[in-house]
Amino acid sequence: MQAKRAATAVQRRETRAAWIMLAPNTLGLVLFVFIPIIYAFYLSLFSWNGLTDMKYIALKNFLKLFQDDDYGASLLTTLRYAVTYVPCLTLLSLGIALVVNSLRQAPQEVVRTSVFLPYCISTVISGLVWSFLLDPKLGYVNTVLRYFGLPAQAFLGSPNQALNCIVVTSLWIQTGYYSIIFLAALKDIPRDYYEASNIDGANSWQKFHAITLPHLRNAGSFVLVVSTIGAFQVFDQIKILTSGGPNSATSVAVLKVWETAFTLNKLGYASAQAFILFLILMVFSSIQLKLISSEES
Amino acid sequence: MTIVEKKSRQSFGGIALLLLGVLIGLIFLFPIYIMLMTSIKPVTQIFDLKLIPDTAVFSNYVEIFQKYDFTRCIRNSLIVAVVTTCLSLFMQSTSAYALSRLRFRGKNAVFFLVISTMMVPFSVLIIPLFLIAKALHLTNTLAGIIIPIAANGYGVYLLRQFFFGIPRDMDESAFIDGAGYFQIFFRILLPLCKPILITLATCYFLYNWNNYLWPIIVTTKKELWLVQAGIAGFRSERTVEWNLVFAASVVTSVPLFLLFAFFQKFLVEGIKTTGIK
Repeated sequence: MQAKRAATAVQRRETRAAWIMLAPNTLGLVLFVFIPIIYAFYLSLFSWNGLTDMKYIALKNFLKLFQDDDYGASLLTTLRYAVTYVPCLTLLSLGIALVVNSLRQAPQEVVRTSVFLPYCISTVISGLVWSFLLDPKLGYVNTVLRYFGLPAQAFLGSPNQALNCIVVTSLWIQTGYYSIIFLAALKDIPRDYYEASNIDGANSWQKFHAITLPHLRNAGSFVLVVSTIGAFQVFDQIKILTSGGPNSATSVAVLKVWETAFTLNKLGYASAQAFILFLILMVFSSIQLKLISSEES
Repeated sequence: MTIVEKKSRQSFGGIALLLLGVLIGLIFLFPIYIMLMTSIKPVTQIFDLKLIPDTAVFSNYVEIFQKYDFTRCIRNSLIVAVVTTCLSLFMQSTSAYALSRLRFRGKNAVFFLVISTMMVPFSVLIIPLFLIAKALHLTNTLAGIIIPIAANGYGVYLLRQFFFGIPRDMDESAFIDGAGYFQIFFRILLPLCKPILITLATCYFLYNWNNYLWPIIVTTKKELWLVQAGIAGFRSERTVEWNLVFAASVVTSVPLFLLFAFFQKFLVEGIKTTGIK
């Protein structure tokens, strides 16, 4: 009896300690993630400019979204960005990881560091550097093109090229990060496999196909999913490089939410837009979560 | 194929790969090099596009500090990045300790909450977060930038994993010796977490120093600008003062390059653990 009471006292102390330690972060998560996402949905049911009274309009914001061509166009632009950016990023970071991995220790570190360095630079600065390089009249890129006798390009000023220029900027920023993920996966492949295949007389392509590629499956799917989630949320580079122009050619989903909320003051309508984005991203992030938890087991 | 032939072919391939690697490195470094060089060019020579400036001046650097008070941006950014990083690490490591070591009812529910918040992307929260910050009188304060960012699920998840890797004997023997939970956490476990704490600290500092979207939403006053907003502010509708933009960019990026140089091992380790091997 005595022992049992002592045990419950210990347990009570343990529970109390646990909740004290959990409190700050859990409170933060509830207040700044959990409640906001519910609040976002709640807001999307209202028409509100942030100042006057909120007007309940049920699902009208969502119905309006389906007929809003500008919003549809912004989703399509986001999709086009993602469809260009994600495959390029995956192939580029995989290719670079393979090249870097084949180098000796010293050059390997130098090249890896060079490729990773842009990741340390903010998206704002990266955006500015690239808008300088891509300047239609006096930029370095056009100077090089002219040197080879090619016509100068409008780049960010052209509705057809602007989005691709943003893809290039994003690739410059992010490739280093994703190459490191691939590089780590490459280093995890046991050397014996390659040695065994050498004895069997396999050529480089056969080795790549039979050994390397299957071992990169997890890293590859992680890169695909995480970069897709990132692509659907692209904002900084676009805000800096084009602010959504020219002719809304680079007006992506988050930029649209931001403009609708903070420039046009349509908070309800912007929340509906954000909520749709959330639903789209849910699909990808649940895959991401599954990948992480499969790693754990 | 004789052995000699094979060897020379291999080394030819090796040299080709080395050259390719160097080329890749140069392409990635080129924009940074241009940033550095343009920042020391006099304003009249910016568009001469020379790779090595005819004359090097440091007046651009003087100007961003004297005319534009970039010092204040740096101070604000330092406060935000350092405080957010420390706060995040503290809150998340205590949470992770409770979730990995202590027994209590509701543990699974809290863990589920932590995990599920990892699925919510920040950009869809900006409107409600802004309204909540406003209701809490946090708009136009540095605290308003820090507090809503500090809590996150990812750090808790990674720290919890790390705690699982520490043998339980350590804290159990301390417990028998009469140490309390907080003592065990601070004296025994936290020092063992140093590698993961440095990893997370580097990532958080980088993230907060470079953050742009949330700070420009929650603060509108120029006095509260962080470095990123400050740099973006050297552009107006019509003109861009490139020499100032790049001087400020260099000042802002160099600390991160140094941080990266010092903690490269930890940062790379962090990326590997957040990614999947």
